[in-house]
Amino acid sequence: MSDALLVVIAFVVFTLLGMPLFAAVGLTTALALWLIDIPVTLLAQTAFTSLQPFPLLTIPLFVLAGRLMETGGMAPRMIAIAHSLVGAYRGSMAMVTIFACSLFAALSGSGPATTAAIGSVTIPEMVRQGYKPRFAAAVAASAGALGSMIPPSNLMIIYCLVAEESIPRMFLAGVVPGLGVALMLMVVAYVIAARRGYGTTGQPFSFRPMLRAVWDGKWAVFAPVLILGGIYGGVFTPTEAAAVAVFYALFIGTVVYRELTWHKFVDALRFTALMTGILIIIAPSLAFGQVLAFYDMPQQVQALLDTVAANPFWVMVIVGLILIAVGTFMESLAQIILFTPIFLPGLEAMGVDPIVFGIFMVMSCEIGFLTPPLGGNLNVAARLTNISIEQVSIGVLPFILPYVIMMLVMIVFPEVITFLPDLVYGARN
Amino acid sequence: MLRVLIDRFEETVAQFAIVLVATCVFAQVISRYVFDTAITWTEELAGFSMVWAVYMGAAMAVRDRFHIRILFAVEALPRPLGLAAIFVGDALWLAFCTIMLVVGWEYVALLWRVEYVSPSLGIDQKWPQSIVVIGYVAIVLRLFQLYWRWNRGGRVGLPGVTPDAVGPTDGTTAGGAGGR
Repeated sequence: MSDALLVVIAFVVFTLLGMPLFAAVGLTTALALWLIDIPVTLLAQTAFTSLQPFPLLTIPLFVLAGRLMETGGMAPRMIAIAHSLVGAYRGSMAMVTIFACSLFAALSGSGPATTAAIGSVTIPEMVRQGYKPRFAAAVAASAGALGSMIPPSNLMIIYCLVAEESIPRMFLAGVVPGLGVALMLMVVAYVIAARRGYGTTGQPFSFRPMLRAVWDGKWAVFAPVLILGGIYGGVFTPTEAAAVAVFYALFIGTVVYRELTWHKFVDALRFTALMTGILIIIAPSLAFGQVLAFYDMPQQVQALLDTVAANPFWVMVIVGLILIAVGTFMESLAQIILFTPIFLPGLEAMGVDPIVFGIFMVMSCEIGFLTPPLGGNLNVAARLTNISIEQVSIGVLPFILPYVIMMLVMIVFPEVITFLPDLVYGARN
Repeated sequence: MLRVLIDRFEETVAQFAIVLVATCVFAQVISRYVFDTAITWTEELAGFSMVWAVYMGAAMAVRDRFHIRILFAVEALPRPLGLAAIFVGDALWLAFCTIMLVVGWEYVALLWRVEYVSPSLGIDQKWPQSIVVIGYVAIVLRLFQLYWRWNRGGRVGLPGVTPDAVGPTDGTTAGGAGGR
């Protein structure tokens, strides 16, 4: 048996035994190093240095900022704005949810957090208006996944660290696919709501209430302007933008809205600490990626893909299916860290832009948020609705379609991704 | 008092480290735009704090069963087999921690012999770097604690997997598991 095969089998066994992934990856790496006589000391070095890079700090900072904004009173203001804009149609609360999620996604980097922030307000309202709970939960879960596609995005930051890409460029690349999916989700929600006669038609759209809602929510709306405007205006780096977002959220939550208590603040810090703790997986994984290169793993994967399909279209379809399948049971963070070094070199050699693959990868993770057994958004939405995860996962099926369509569009027309970053930063090479 | 310390030690350090990260990075922006000077040591201090937050958070995540792991296979097994799988997996996990403690210790011991000062803060690297050893010690202790609690709680379900009534878990964890 070849050493490479032994390493792969060891990893699969460790994982299936339910070992925490950081330990499974670490032990596999130690085994792989030992097999080819490289000192295991490599693990000690990456244990510290791989967690230190400045861009990595962006993640806990965005998590903290998102949590503070979620509990500090920004979400209801965003829902009010969404209501004034799209509240006039049949099934309006579903549209409001999707629209508000898109808005909140522009200040949060996480899918489940977006579902929680918006869904906790709109799901009960939808149920009260007679929507089927399954449908209400599905809308919030699927639109919440936009949190990882519309910038800022924690998953994109991780991808950029692993693939050594530019974070601002990657963020811009997510805008068009993110808004595209949001639009398609609204269409799906509208069709279903119209057929089942959910909700009533609300107040027809008019300018005055909208301006009023925007004015009332000005502090909340200013948050994405500050974060994204700051990054693209060259005022600060993404990491600095995240720190500014933390202090902005603190200021708004305590001084302006006065909804942020000391207890909520400590709670947000505790949650951030837990999220930061699971980043420990980065340390062994980066060492793992280096070791994989010693074993020529990326080349072997590429050779395998070449034999399965000759043209890039089918290769991307196959990779997409693998990623979606993995995403159903693996945490997105781990999926990106582990699978980027395996697939990216081969795909790059075939002419796939790393930014395009990154968006593709994040999109597949979002589908993972929405599929059992491990669907982050499903869990949140099910808890908010008090129905079973199975129920939500049935309700969410039609809403997965927009994500799948967008993945196909990306394969055929990668320009939807590259167009905006190319416009701002100029074409690559 | 001692109980609180035992329950919340890593948590407190991690929370403090995160506040430090945020403050350092924010201070960097403020100093550049308000005071028109660039401070350089904030970036390094923030980086060190980050690593501390990660390892302390990782120990916390053992306590709160928050680590990323794939459990559907183990949970699908009949209880005796699932229990056996978890025992083997945790033994391997412990083995990995031992490896990390050995190589981590060797690395810090090396830093102890040769003085290696960080570029902008000017502090000896052995202090910040010792967190790898401290972190893995904490992780191992929390792993033992999980077993101890599981045993005391009547051996219900799988240790470190099934939520127990004894643990200091509160709304944060319940709301958090999906919040990644």
